[in-house]
Amino acid sequence: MKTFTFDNSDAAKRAILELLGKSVDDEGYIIEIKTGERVVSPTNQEVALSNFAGIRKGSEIFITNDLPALLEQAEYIED
Amino acid sequence: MIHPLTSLISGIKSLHLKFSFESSNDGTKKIVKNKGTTHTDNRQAVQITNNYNGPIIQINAPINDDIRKELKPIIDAYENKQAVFIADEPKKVLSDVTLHEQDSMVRGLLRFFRPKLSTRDYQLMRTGLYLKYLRDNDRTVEANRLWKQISENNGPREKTLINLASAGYFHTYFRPLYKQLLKTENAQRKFNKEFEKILDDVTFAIFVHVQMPAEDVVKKVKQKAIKNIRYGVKVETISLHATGNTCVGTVQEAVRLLRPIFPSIKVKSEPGGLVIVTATIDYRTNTLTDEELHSKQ
Repeated sequence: MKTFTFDNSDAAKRAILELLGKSVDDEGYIIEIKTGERVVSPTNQEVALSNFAGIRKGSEIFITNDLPALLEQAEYIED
Repeated sequence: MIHPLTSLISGIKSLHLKFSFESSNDGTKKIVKNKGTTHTDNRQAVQITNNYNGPIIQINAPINDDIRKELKPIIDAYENKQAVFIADEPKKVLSDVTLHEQDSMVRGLLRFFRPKLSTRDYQLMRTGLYLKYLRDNDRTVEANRLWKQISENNGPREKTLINLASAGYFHTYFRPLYKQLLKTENAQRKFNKEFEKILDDVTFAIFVHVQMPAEDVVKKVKQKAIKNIRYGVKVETISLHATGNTCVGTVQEAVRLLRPIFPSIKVKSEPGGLVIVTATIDYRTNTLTDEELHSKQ
């Protein structure tokens, strides 16, 4: 698995999301551009841009800054 | 012709994407971030550079179809499940966790509990152990920042488990408990039951460890009882948990010292020669003085 890093800034997060067909709604939550629906994390929580740490394709897994959730994804991230 | 990024990506494990433009939702804004000034950018839209960490893909234009085309190998690697995108800050945290987990004591604990806990509980335990490491190394600012994020994303059970791990209980209590239970049938089932019970009423539990004298146990029970009475807590009991000969002996001694103050104490030892004891104290029946109940602790 390859790891693509990006700066932890809102601008970089928005660019990554836009690259992958996502956007951010007025309340700061990540949405699918196609449907306008908010995306959810593996723990079924809507993902705010501020909490967005990354993304992996399984179905589509949104990685958040929540450490236990982050640790669950650690094996897919190149150190 | 092979896309220049395709050959680059095939040979690397990681790269960094750097965006010099503000991204926009409608793809129309073209603003270069440059200390508040706006100017036209005549750099190439996508440039490849290198630093000591590896390749950097510099993106100098807002995301639009042209940029997507330029970055197609990167998007394809993601779509084909060959790549993960991660912000550099959480990645640094993960690297630091990995480093801390090289410690032989931590590694031993992780190896022991990996097959015994659910995936989620295992990650919660790792989180607690890492918080302990940060606090033990005077990195409280980082620990507090992580804890804030954890609090926003997790419920009481998850937070309790993290707190137990960061207080060292997986080392001092849960591992010895599991080892004791291994002497019986259905050790895993028994452990799960005990584990959930403790997570449920941990606020009212005291775990006795080897360096804890009986006098300290008595003091802690009294403090908890006084607090519960003062704040009208509805839970009626405080429990003491111990495993191993030394700790069980401490609990027995503590119970002897506590009985004159709290006559209603039930002591339950695990059957089958296991060295595990739980003492349940109904603190509402007590001989605490008014002075003790109203003293500042």
